[in-house]
Amino acid sequence: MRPGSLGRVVGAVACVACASPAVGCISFQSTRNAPGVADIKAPPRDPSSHTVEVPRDPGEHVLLWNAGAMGGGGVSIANEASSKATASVSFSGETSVHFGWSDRTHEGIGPLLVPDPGISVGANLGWTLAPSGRVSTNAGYAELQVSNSLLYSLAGGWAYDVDRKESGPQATLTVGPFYARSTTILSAGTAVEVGIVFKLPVVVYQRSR
Amino acid sequence: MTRRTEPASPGEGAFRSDLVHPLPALAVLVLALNDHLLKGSGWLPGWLTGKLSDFAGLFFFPVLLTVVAEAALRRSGRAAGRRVVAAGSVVATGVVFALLKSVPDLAGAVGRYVGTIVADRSDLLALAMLAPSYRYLARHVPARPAPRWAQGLGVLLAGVASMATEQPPERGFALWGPDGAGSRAVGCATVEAWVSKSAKTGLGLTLGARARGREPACTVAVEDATLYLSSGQEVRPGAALPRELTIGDGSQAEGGGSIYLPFAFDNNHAWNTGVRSATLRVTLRGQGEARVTWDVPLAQRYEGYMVRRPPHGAAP
Repeated sequence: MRPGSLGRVVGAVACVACASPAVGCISFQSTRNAPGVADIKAPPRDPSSHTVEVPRDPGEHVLLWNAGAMGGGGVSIANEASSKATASVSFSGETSVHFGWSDRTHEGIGPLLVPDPGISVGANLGWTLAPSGRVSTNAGYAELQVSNSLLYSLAGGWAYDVDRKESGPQATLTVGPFYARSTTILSAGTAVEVGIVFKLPVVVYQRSR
Repeated sequence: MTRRTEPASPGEGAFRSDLVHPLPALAVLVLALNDHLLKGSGWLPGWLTGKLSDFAGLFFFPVLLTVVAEAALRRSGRAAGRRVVAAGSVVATGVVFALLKSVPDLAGAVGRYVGTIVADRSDLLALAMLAPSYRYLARHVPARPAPRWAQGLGVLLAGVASMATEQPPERGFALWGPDGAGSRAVGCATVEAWVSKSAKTGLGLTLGARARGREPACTVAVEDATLYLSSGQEVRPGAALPRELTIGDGSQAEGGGSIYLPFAFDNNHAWNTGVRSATLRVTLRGQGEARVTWDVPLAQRYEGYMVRRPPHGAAP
């Protein structure tokens, strides 16, 4: 990796990591689909009550955009037959969009201090800098992701190393604040790493189902 | 044979140290986490989060009460043995808790000042925690005072955790309701209309009647009803008409009759397309009287995405 590009990538990662908390969370709650769920044909539970029965919760949709940083370490294995695995570290800046749906409207915050989108699908865009190890990378990547309450997620996509001008598959498993990632640059080798994710919501949009 | 002796009352500056101990600290932590994070989060079942606070609270509240009582006694120049104060705190906590959990009116009245209290007799199981609380108080006499910052923090955290939490927010809805007066005199009765159900699939109205005079029996016929949405859509009820509202035949506990009229339509679409008002047109006929047409204005209002409701309450 050239020193110049190293500096740029470190700067970019630092900017994303620092900017996401500063941006904070902007939340929108839609008034669309606002009526609840009830069996209109069935008579009310208390015919003498002059107040409307509270309907059942229809659940909600959540659209969430978050951003943050990931950092970890692991091993990298170059393609050469004689190559041994060597230790490596990596840092990534990542931004994601998730669309989730849940049968139950979540109150306030979920386990990760953001509105819980329930089952969600999403996309990640990020940049990984792994300057050490046999397979040093300076790669942008795009992934598709499926997650449950943002607590457990599995993502798969493609990474492109700008220094080598080569690309390859990438898979990321996230459990709570931890991740495990495998990145293969086809001409160079594979890096497998575990680390910590720190992401904050930027914009949250909640809507009744 | 070993003779148990009355533990000495703690020395000056030591009284608050009862709270600076892993057991009450753990109880405070459980209470705070449960009330402010777990309740309503969906991570634990509601019955469990409901009980957790009671169990943790009944352990540490007598400790807090003992700390306060001993401080008050010290300031007034009086003295009492540790076991006496501890027993008093435990009994007082148990009696008040049992009353609040057994008398809904009392729970409601107190809840207006300290936050929602749900009267649920199954919560009385938590009274079992008073025994370990007393045991802790009777045996734990601090050997030396905890640091002042730890004492202050202990009292502060215990006090904050003791405050009842508000009822967690619930999902708010768009609901139909009367837009103005909802009653009309028809012959011998006053007929009222109110919305009983409001949902994505329509709304349900109840027509009720109560006697105006002293006639032993009174009947009002509901001959027809139609709901006119502001979008121009007309909706007929899903109940056969005409029907009679009969008062005074002994079938109604409060001397009035009621008819439920469901109006099924795509209210989700109506809401999304801006339908916020409607008119219910009811044709009524009193005994021996001419037909009366009554227009009941209705409005659909949004409660907000999340709202706080009283426990077991209906939407206003």
